[in-house]
Amino acid sequence: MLLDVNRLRVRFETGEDTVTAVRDVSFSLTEGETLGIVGESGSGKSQTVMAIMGLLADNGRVDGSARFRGEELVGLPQRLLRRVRGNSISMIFQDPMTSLNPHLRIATQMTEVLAYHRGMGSRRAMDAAVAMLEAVHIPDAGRRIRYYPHEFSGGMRQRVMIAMALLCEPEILIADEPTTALDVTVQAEILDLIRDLRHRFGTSVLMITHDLGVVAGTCDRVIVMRQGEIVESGDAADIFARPQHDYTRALLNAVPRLDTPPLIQSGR
Amino acid sequence: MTKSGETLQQAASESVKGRSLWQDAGRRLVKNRAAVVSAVILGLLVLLVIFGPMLSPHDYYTQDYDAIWQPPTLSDGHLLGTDSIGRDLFVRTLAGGRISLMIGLVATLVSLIIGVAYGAIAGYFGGKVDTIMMRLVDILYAMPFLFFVILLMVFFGRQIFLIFIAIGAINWLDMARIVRGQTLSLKNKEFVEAARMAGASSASVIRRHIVPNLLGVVAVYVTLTIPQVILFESFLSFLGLGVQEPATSWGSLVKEGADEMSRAPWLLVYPALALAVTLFCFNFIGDGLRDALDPKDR
Repeated sequence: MLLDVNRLRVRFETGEDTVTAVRDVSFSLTEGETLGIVGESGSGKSQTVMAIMGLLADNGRVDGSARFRGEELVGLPQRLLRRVRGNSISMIFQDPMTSLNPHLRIATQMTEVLAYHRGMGSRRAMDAAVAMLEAVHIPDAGRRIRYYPHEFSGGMRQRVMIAMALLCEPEILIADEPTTALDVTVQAEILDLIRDLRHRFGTSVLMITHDLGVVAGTCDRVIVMRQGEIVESGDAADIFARPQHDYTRALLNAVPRLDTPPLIQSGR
Repeated sequence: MTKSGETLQQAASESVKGRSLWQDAGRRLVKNRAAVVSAVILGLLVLLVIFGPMLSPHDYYTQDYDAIWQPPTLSDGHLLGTDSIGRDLFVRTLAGGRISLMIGLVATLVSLIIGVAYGAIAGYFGGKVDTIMMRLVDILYAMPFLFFVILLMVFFGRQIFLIFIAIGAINWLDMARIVRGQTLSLKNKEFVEAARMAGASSASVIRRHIVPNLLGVVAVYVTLTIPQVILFESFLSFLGLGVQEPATSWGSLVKEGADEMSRAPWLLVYPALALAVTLFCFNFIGDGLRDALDPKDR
């Protein structure tokens, strides 16, 4: 088992109040698998991942367990967690326009990761970074790597982000709404790319999204979250064909369609 | 034909390197005429202040008893005239400029280093660290500054470096507040999260990702702080708390000139002019920088 999350609970203390963002969430991820976490905004899907990585806001508290290859991540000191982040588990974010530092060249940002986790010299790191940019289909990578982020389009930046995330050949790639900020054609390209790279590098993917279209195209298994709880989980195909929970049905019906009426009638 | 070919090539090689936001801002700054003119004037003034005294036959402390209260003239080398004890005003204005500009730069640099480090740390770590650090700033703000300067002078005597310390000590408070505010908004940007996700430590996130993104705001603030500091030193000198005779600064010169305004107006006019031109230049440059770095233009 690559990642085993057990009864994970996340709370935020806001003054007198305590808000529970994630309630007893358990799931697991095996090697080479893609797991989708689906839910509306505020359902706790992102906070689940942040809790696993130890990147919650200062007022966040985590209980439960998240084991990566048997090693407990919850409560691990930041010093040790930093060795995991970006190295064994890395992440891409929703908005590629803001996830790159506007003041540093792409080359600097990419080689930094390699220098930190792999202790690579600048030359070797540069070669590795260019190779990875080529792997995500950035044309003329050797030249473009000297660009600054604002000189790339949104789709290109998301490719750069993916390349950065894959530099250290992580075992798990967490994609937090990787296509939400992109337009539809670019979305399809990015999803293709993630699917493709998953096979090539054997990376497991944790796909966080509210878009069931994304899930249908990429995921093996799905968890549906609502208000911090898992309401349904199972094979992606099963969930699409036979949703058990009202909320899942509502989500499926909420997917806008032009051609056909909703496939699944709500249970009423 | 060849020319356009060359330009194309040039353009191509430029795009290969990639243009940073700073280079973009530099371009916009160069297009701002007031800022460029100010920078040129300021540059000339700095050169004059550094090398001018070497070119003059006089120095700033020797008294010329044959030329007391002499109005500006070209005949005997007292270009801007002399003061009540026959010292050459031209050289004294330049010597005063050295002190004033040096105080402006050094005190600003001191406040820059302390303020940026302090503000970035407080803002980035947030929570209790932030509360404690910023309350300390509030307390220091509440201290009567003039009283603090007078105390320093009384205890340690009148020394230039005390003025540096005094001004630097008060100015970093503003800088720290500005930097903290900027850091608070920056630390929630996704690239900071991405850097942390990639395993960067807090120190390297602050150094590599927070501070470079602050520099735009800080650069503007610095160009507006330098004149403020110069003015403040002038104010202290005007009160008699500044540099000690025979050394001088623009502030002390203006004070002396103001005392003799009716008898020898040139003693007031020229130092005041030098001060005013410098302040104008810094403000125009600051204005230009602010426009050039405005994110809305990007």
